[in-house]
Amino acid sequence: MTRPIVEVEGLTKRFAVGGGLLQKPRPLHAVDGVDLHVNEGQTFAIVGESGCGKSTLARLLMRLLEPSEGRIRVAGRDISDLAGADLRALRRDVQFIFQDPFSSLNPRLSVGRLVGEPLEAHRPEMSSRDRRSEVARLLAQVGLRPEHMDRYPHEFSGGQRQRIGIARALASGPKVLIGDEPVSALDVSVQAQVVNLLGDLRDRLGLTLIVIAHDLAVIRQMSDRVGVMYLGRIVETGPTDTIFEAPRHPYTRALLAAIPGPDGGHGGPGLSGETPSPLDPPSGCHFRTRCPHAQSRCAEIRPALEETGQGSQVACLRWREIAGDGQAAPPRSARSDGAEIRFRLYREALAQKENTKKTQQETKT
Amino acid sequence: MNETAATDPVLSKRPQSRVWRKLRGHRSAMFGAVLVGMFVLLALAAPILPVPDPAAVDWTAIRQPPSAAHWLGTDELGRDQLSRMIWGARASLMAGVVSVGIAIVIGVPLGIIAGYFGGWTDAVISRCTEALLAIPFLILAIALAAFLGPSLTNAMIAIGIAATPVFIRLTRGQAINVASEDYVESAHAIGLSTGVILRRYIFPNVLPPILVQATLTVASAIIAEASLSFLGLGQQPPAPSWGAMLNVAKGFMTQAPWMALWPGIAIFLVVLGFNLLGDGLRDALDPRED
Repeated sequence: MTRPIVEVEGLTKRFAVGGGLLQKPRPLHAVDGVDLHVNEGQTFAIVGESGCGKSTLARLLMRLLEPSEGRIRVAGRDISDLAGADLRALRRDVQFIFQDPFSSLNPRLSVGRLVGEPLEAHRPEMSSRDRRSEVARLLAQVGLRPEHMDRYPHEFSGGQRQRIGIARALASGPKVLIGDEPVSALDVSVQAQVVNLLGDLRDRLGLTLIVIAHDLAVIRQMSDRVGVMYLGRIVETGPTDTIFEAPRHPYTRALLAAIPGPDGGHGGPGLSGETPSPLDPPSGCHFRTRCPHAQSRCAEIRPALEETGQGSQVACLRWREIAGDGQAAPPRSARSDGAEIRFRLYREALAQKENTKKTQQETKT
Repeated sequence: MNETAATDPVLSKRPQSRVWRKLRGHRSAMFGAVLVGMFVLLALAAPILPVPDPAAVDWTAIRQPPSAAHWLGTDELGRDQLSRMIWGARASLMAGVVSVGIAIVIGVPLGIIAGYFGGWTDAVISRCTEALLAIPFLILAIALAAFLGPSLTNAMIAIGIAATPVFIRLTRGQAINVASEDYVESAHAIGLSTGVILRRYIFPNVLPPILVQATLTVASAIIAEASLSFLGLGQQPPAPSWGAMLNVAKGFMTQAPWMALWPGIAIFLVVLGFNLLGDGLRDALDPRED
């Protein structure tokens, strides 16, 4: 299960911004030399502020965008230069769940058509009757009713539409599912259902999930590994528990410290200032302009990801000093207690919701 | 099964077409539809209606005012005006619908290609469109019709080509909008081919404003056909068309004003009908107005 299914090396995406008759366009580094690997059957979460390039990264992995540099391998096959029919064939194995369930479904196609389309594209030999029954099975798998097949997206609620999107993504039988903020557009109560659905499907179908998110509670709940992104770079990556319990990068610490809790926050250094423009990123370490630990050498050297010895990797020149510095380290015990209570409550709420849903379904049938 | 369907919030609602419901509630649109429908029925029923041959000359009854024998009077050759109006409706409505059909068949695919692919394709198509748009619609139609030769078919082709640039422009803008929608990206993510995306995702979603434009253009195409016939470039005598009838009537304005009156009223009513229908369609297709 620890075989890497998605491997990324030095992935870079530059967009040309502005430019005109007498003006050269400026390069915007949306994704800047990202290395990462995702193991089969795991959930990998990419987290960061808006504008840090996480959606671009997801679209690069999906090859909805052309990488400027770097390599992407899926199941050992290099997909960085695929085009035309080969690229379409890749869509069988890698699928995408969109953030906004309202705008990502063609309003003029029925649910049956929407979910059946990937089957049409990837299994053209299928008869339309077989396709219909397969669509019914897919709808049931995501908790919808086969009778919903002839309805149109606008008749459904946000959560139901996201389920339609998931059924559509599952139709081709993918190995990897990439979700770009799959729950952030949904109501909180519905978020939990969709998060659980994704977890269930992953276990049942042996999927690998790559989830883009900014909600840390959601990430902790559903992911095995986390990559923290800042201005187009991965600054820290590792097992979810390690990252949450022992964050090494000052940015990760600031993010975790910003989680509101029942005990009124955790203190620790918050973030001041704004994210610099990716058009004009700071030299060296991108985070240095907002980092409480920045020194002059942070402006000169771009930190590479280093092993911390706890399974995680961090891109910071001073992570050892910072970790030893009791002052700057987040108050571990306080965080753990608060976090534990919150996560326990969250899990209980989820379990309860699931139970009531099950009993409801049982009474229905 | 029925019980569960009743408790399901989606399945308990009857599927219905919002657009149709809104259109039905739109009074002026329905008035326009009735007007247009009436003329279409008249035109279709022309062969079975008990009216004389529109080309039958009667030298004993020239330029007669409306009477019991000739409800709408007769023209300078004694032909029954009512019959000519009814048969003329065929030419006028055909000219309107066929020429707009030509404009849509040429314009919409070009617009979709320009808007979806962008770049050089777009630049070439757009510059040509702009060049054509620089020439006034009627002047272009007259020039083309004169070039193709006088006949109703050629007039329809000329009007169709003259109306095409508007559809290219409209479709292109709409296609650019639709192409940036999430659901088009989702079609790429699914692995659909470009042809399928254009046909199933872009085309149906650019269609509503084009339908509206089509009803409005039908109105101006009918006027254009009348103008071309008036100039002798459209329907050829003795076959009737409203424009051709007006053309002849202008010589007898003082002696027989009814000759100009009926085709004028008919053109006015049909154009009004199509315009009202188009306005109503635009409102009904706009999801912001509910």
